[in-house]
Amino acid sequence: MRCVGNFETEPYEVGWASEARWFVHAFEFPENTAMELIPQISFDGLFWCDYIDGNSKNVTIKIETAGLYSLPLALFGQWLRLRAVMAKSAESNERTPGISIQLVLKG
Amino acid sequence: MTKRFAEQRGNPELERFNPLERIFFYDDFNRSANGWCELIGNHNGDLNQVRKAMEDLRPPQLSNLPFWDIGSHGALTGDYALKIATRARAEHMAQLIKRTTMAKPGLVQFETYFTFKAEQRKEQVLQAYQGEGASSSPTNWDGNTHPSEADFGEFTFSNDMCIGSGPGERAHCAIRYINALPDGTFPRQWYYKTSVQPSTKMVRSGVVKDPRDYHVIDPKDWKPIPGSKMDFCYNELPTKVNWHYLRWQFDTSKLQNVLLQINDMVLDLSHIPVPRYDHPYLGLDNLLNFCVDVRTYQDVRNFMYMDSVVVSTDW
Repeated sequence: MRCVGNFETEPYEVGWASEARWFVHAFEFPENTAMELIPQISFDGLFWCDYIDGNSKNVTIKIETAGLYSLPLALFGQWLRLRAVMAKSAESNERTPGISIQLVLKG
Repeated sequence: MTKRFAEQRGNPELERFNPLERIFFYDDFNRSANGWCELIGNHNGDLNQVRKAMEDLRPPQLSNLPFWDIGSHGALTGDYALKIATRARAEHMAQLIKRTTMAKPGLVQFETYFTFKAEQRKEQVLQAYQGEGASSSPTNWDGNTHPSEADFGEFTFSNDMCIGSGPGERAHCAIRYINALPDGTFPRQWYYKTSVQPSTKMVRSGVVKDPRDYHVIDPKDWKPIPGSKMDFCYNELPTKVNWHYLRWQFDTSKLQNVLLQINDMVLDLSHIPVPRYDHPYLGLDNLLNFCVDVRTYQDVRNFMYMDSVVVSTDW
């Protein structure tokens, strides 16, 4: 997908899974651009909050160059999605980042 | 009582089905998605080549039907059902596919216990949370029918068959139930299609345009199945789920539909024409794919759920 602004991925049900890991393949990432992907959780797929890990910390994927990124999650409950925040520099960049997002689950 | 029937009677998991002589597969979605996966259009390694109608058909989900009001609803059996979800965008379609080949052309029967719902509109829940529910509820809510009934569009069961070797003869059977149209009317009837599904080969050769409706060349290429008007048990809320029985037979040796049963309604489909391709396809010898899709007409997610599936044959 091409990222032209902030977005959220579609809600995905993960209540059956005991482990989850996001993979984000930034296959084309222009210079002077950055984005942050923040995992979010929900109990109903309607209302969302940012995921907090076992140490009460926010964990995110920060992308500034092309490459493959990964983020494991635990104790995530019922639903997962990613919230993407584009750096302001991305708005003025003529070329948009191209990324592929995969969610790997095991139960 | 045959030995096989007696064995089936002793198996509560299969007793709710009426399979033909040989069970080809039994999908219990408490275990996994059982090979039902997202359909993607053909490409040459460059995903930009995937045509628009087939670029975003969404992955399967295993759902215990969790809702904002009661929590987990659960499936007909066990906790989980296979879920197909559209985006919250009018005319978006989600489709899952299970791919097989046939050992022999003949009668095939697809059975499932399924249900469908539109997602509760978030603004309705927010109003209720904020204590504004009573004053801002739709005035047309009578306590029985729910406004969300108009938010569910349609679902379609279909297949992809190719008989013979080399360039075989290919066709898709498709049966569609339309619940509510964008204008708020409720056809609540089953339909069959009157044109072939535009393939990547057809689109790339310029024979047809990439379709607005995945299944047909023109969105109008559907006709009602005679005697097929029916209401489903929606049960008053988007968060109450009742499971429905569906049995669909088709004959791959004739590339024809045979019958469709939904609960107590049985329709003879043997006279329903099935459009065939007038040009050959290679590499699809004995193809037999099963597909389920759901399409929304509103900016509201539409969901299909299958508790379990049995496909049986007369092979």
